[in-house]
Amino acid sequence: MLRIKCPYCGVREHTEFTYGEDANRSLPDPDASLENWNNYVFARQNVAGEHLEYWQHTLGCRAWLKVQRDTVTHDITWTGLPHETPPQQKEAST
Amino acid sequence: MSGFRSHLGRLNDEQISFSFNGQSLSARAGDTVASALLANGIEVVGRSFKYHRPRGVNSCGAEESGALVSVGIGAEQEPNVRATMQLVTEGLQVSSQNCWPSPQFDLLAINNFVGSLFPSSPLAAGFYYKTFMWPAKFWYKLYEPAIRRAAGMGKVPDQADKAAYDRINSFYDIAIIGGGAAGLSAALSAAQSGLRIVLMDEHATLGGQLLHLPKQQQDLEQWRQNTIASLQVADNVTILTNTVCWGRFDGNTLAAHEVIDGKVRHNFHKIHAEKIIIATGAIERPLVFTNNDKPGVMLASGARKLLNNYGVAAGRQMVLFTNNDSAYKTAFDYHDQGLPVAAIIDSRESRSEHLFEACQQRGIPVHQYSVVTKAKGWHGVRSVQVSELKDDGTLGASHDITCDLVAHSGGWSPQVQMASHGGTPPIYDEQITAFVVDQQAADTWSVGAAQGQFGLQAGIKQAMVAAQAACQALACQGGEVLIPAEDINGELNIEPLWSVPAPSKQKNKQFVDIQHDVTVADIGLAHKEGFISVEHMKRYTTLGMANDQGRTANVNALAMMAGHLEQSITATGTTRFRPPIAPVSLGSIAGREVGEHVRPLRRTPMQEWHERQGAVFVEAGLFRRPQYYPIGNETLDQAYVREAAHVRTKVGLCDVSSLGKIEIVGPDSAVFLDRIYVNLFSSLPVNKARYGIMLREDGHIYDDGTTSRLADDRFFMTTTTAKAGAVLSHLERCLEIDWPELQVRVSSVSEHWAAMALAGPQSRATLQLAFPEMDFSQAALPFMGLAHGKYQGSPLRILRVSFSGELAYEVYVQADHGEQVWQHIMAMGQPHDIIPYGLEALGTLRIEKGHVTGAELDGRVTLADVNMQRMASKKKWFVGQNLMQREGLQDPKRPCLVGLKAVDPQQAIPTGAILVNENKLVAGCDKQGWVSSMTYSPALEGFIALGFLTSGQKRIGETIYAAYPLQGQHIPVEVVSSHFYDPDNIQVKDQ
Repeated sequence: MLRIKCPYCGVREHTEFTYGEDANRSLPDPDASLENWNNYVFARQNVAGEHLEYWQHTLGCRAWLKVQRDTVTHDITWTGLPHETPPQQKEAST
Repeated sequence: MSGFRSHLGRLNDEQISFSFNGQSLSARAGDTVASALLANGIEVVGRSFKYHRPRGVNSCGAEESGALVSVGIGAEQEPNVRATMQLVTEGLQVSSQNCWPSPQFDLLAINNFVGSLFPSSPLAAGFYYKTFMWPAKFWYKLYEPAIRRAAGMGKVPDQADKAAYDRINSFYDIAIIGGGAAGLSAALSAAQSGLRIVLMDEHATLGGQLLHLPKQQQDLEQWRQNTIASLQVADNVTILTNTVCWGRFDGNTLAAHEVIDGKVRHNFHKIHAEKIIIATGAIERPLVFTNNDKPGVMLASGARKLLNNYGVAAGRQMVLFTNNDSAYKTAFDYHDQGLPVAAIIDSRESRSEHLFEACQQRGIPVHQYSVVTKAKGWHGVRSVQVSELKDDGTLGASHDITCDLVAHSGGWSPQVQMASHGGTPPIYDEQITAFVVDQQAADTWSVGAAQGQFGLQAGIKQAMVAAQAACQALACQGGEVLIPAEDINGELNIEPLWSVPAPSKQKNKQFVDIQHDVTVADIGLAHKEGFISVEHMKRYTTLGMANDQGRTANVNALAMMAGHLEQSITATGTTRFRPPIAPVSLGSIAGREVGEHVRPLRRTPMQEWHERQGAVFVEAGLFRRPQYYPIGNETLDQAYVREAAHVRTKVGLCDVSSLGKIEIVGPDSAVFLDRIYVNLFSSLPVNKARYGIMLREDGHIYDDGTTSRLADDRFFMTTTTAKAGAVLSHLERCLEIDWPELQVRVSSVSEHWAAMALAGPQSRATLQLAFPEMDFSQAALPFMGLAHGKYQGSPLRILRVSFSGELAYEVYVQADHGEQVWQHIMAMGQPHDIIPYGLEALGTLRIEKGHVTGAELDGRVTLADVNMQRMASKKKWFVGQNLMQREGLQDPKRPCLVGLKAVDPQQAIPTGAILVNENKLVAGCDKQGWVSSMTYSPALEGFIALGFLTSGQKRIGETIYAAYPLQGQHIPVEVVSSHFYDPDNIQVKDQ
């Protein structure tokens, strides 16, 4: 059972949250090339290790969150709001 | 008759009765089924999985692989219960498994002998994959019924389980798994910190291997009782007995299964612990020799606990067979109780002098460097064949020794499953010839025998140190634990003996996994056939896959595998441990979420009215929506056709409250909707509605609905029932991640508004009667207009939109007035002959009109596929616009929406049918498309359907075929426009 720290609500079980998507990408310009759009929608790094992703606190405050999760160990090392970026060093707390 | 009650052990003298295969037997309170059966002299408890060999009790704990029984009858029956773990309660009904007519005389025992008739036994390793393969036509009629009759352990009850199960979520600072000496010590030390502690043990009585000792060993018995008493009075300690911790998951989550057998049968505990101490102990390994599965062959520790804890002698004359020091105590305890020990067979070259002297003092003969090669007897053991070992590993001269109990020990295996669930595989420790987990997972300590520390005092100290470290990590201080004066030496002085050489030229079976009937020969066969990975060997032979999860079998099997591969056990490795480590009832995982509670039920404000009206309901997501309102004995087909026809001629009311409703507010709302929908919403005037379609980023249609403008900066969106939640999340995502600069707020108001669709030529007249202060004239409320009103002080929103193709309105009212307004409209509609109509008629009306729903918008279609490409605005950008241009989505040959009319109007067109050009289904005929929805159309007096057909728009007028080979149907249909009814929208727009 993952536990995710919502910046608004505190530490909650992951069953309150819904996984959204990879947070390492941003919306291309409307007139960007088809290739750019294709990469945005379909191409993923699929990293083994620390990964930034969006989750939504669907059964809580409904905020969209940015979560730094290790895809190998499932350790969650940072959570923040969508416009925030994690600090360079790992924080011990979730 | 072998076992008997010799004294009371730790039990008291209260007598209770239970039954075994219908026979009434007596037991003492505290007995397990295993100890009670042995006390009653019952030797054969059931039959084995494949070979139907007689099996009896072969341990005294969780590792039991022989005595599996069914408990209870009827709906209450539970198969595959380990007799060693089931407490006897008054009136408990226990029965044997896998035997007919009785465990003594079982007809399928023929399986035991077929091996010798064929060159390779049909039930040997991999038989699942090799047998029953050919010819294919034999499968249904011959193989499968035969396998079903013979296979499996026990019977699954054929009635629904009425017992209650609970799920419990709890949070602790420290969880301690295992209540033996180490677990008790860790708990007592941690308890003194004041932190919240939970101690779990799978047995009914705490103490672990301390219960193997005679009660007369007073120092240790007193220590056990005092420690338990101290824990019981501590407010911060929760003790869960009969509770097996069966898995560890991410985030220090533990799953545990508690057997209650009261008003609630089992509890499923989901425990979150900050720190975890694993004190799961070790279990004894069997020695592998011919017929080592016979009733009477028992782990030495099991025989010892039976005697000392339950006062049950497991036999009348023992032979002890061992490769280490620990088992000698079993022989000494039996001897000291006056029970004869015929001999100790010790396979080791060197001997432990102090034990040898103790044997001499008691007059027990010791056969050094010898092995038991075979257990003999018809059902149970009556003698053993003993051979000396020669230096080249072969067998020397043999002789028989009479006995009815073979207590054996091949060493001890730490129970590393829970520690391995944390992520690290166990490693082989040569010293104790077993696997231990070297690197602990985060927040975890393994202590005592679970970590290979078999000495008592050393284990207690290790547990205390771990508990103190765990407390310290939580900024608290653990306490001291009194170390008992008496120690138990943990030195095994083991010399590994993975399997005894088979007595020459005999095909008798040497079992490695007793519960799954896997033999030494099976492992050899798997190796010969190329299964060189332990994971493959496990699956091919099914070793370790029974409900004991190979507790006693795994290490022996891995060592044998290593021998075949001529490599070290370390290099061979273990299979991966996965939860659950013990049998878990499905009921406990389901908890109370069974039957109608399996999902929550969402009710519309008008639900009770529909129920009173006798509506027939259909599941729609979490809703149960009225499907139709039968009159008299009407069938579904009769009712929906009547309702649909009535709406076209008069007026009907339909509950559409389940639609998603989202309010969108803020100065940038119109800009936002322009990006979300393919069509323009910024141009929508206030108090007007527009049908909108939204796409996914990949260019496919996501959802549709009508959105109306309440004010310049305020919109009211409706979504489909199915996508209500997903669309809200999508809007929130876009606002928070993609366009945080937009000043817009979205909020679900689905539960705030009851919604009803009023449709039919008389709908305007009905509304005018219902809400006389409002103006419903064409001028005041034209098509796609929105009017506001009040009913008894509560706001009304009335939208002139139509899903049916008739003059129609959607009436929105605050939810708590929903039923009142519904009833009011129904009453005011009486002069116009109003009826309620259900989802089925709603479907008929929309198919006649060619409107799409989830059956068409299934996530794979584009705007062009449903002939709505013209809706996409060229004046602005919207989500999905870019990838909608992809070559594959622009292919003119893509199947697109068409109408289909049955050539014979009375012939139904099955939904899901495949569209083909050929008039009969032949190999290689091309799939041209599919049927997505169908109905009988009262307006067209025949069956019609919507479907997707390759280049469909160019094929209007063609006759093709709807094939449904599963039902042998092949129906000629005419391709027509999807707008069957009133294609010019004259009815909708009205005067």
